[in-house]
Amino acid sequence: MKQTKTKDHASLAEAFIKDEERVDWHDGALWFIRQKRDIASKQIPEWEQLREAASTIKSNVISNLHDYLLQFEANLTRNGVTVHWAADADEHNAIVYSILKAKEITQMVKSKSMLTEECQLNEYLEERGIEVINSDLGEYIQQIDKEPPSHIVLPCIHKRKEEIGELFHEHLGTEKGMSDPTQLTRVARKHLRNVFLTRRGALTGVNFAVAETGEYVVCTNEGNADMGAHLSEVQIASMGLEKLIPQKKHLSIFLRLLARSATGQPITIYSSHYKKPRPGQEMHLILVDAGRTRQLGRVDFRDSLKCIKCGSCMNTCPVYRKSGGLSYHNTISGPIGAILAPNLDMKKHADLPYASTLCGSCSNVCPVKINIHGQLYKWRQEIVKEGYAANTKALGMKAMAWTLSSPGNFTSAGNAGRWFMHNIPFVVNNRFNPWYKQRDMPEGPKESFAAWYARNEKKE
Amino acid sequence: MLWIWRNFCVAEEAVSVKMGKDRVTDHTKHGAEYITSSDLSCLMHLEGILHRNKSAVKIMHIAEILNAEL
Repeated sequence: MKQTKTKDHASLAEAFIKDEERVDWHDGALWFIRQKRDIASKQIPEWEQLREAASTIKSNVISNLHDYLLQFEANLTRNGVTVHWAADADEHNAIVYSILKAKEITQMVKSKSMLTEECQLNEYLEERGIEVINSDLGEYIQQIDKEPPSHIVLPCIHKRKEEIGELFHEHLGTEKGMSDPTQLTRVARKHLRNVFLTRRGALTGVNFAVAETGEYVVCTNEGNADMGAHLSEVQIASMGLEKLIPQKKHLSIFLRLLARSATGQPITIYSSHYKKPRPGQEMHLILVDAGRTRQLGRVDFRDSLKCIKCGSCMNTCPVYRKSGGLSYHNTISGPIGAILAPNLDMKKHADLPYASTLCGSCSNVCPVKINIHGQLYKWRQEIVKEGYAANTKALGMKAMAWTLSSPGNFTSAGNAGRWFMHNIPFVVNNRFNPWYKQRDMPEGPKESFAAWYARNEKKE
Repeated sequence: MLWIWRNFCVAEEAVSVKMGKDRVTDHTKHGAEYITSSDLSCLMHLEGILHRNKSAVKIMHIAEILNAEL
């Protein structure tokens, strides 16, 4: 992977922002999608009712996960699907490997799975001699560039078409300089079609798993999940425990919300239902915990498990749009990623809840009404309490607390500040002050408001 | 002055400045001569960017407008 794991969000964002033209274009592309979402959602008068219903259903699911999981498992088994339970990424990867190995499969096609990105399944299987191809076009582009996806719905949104042309020239032998999106897509389609025809093993993610029937639904625009699954001898689905919905009729709410929130489409081109293996085919479903039950136990953060991975919080986030998804150094980026990641590794992701202005736009667009910005704020408190906050932040907090703790402290700090700004401004205006890098400090008023007020009150 | 050290504007300097620059551009593109707000930290941020770029656009707190003599 190209990405440096040791750098924090702020420095990765700084590197991305250096190419200002790219940032403007990235920002505009995501804002365009946000606007499409607005148009699509406003065409349905019952939009807010749908959000409320989806939120309530998901709350019910995460509160009764135990029962729904057992019901789902029983129905899957009845339908002829083999069910596996994985506590963590390692267990998940080992299960996939053992299924493929039993069938002597050395090549697998994958689609629509952020979970397997999270588990780093590709790397695991490649080390064991199994080749994996991501068949979603965006994911495929990211895979050949050896970079993780930067967005859960639009994996290569940070790349220019010319860069993709260059990658295709290198990996698929296209003409140098070819950057027409339609032409490039045709080349990829031809290449992937051959992949679908020759792979005996296929793995997909899961958008919605219906406890009542034991079926699962995968939503795509490219039809690639179907191509892979239908042509395979062994079909594997990997899903996080939280992907359940109680009944089939609830799909009528979620399918309407998902695509409108994600891209502004009324519905994804394909909503594929998988229920039982065809004769001669094997079907496996892996239920993965990987930190989800831990998050369920965190009262302040359990609501994050309601997420249906539409990506609308990313498209609307002013920080995400300007910093790019890779700056979040986590599989799930953006605001939702910033509340999911600290649960996985609080120390490594301590910077992410701070990569937000807490403007609240994410919570406003969330189709399942997760209070994302509220949770970002709460994670900050958790991180400080656990001692993972950066020193500068802790020091600043103490200084702030001292200044505001008494009127005397406040007045003397103000006087000191004004005196410094007027007499020796270089103490503040220097390269050690991050404010001063691209912004000037204010000149500072001659007197404080309190002094001004006292003087003017006397006049009257 | 101390409060800024812990804030987004400094911790996420690059993103913060880019957001401020874009906001200023939005205003200047529409011919604004003054920018006003009731939020001091916002004004300080935009003024810092305008001043560094030698812009003629002025920043005024809403109280300065209300207190101005006609």
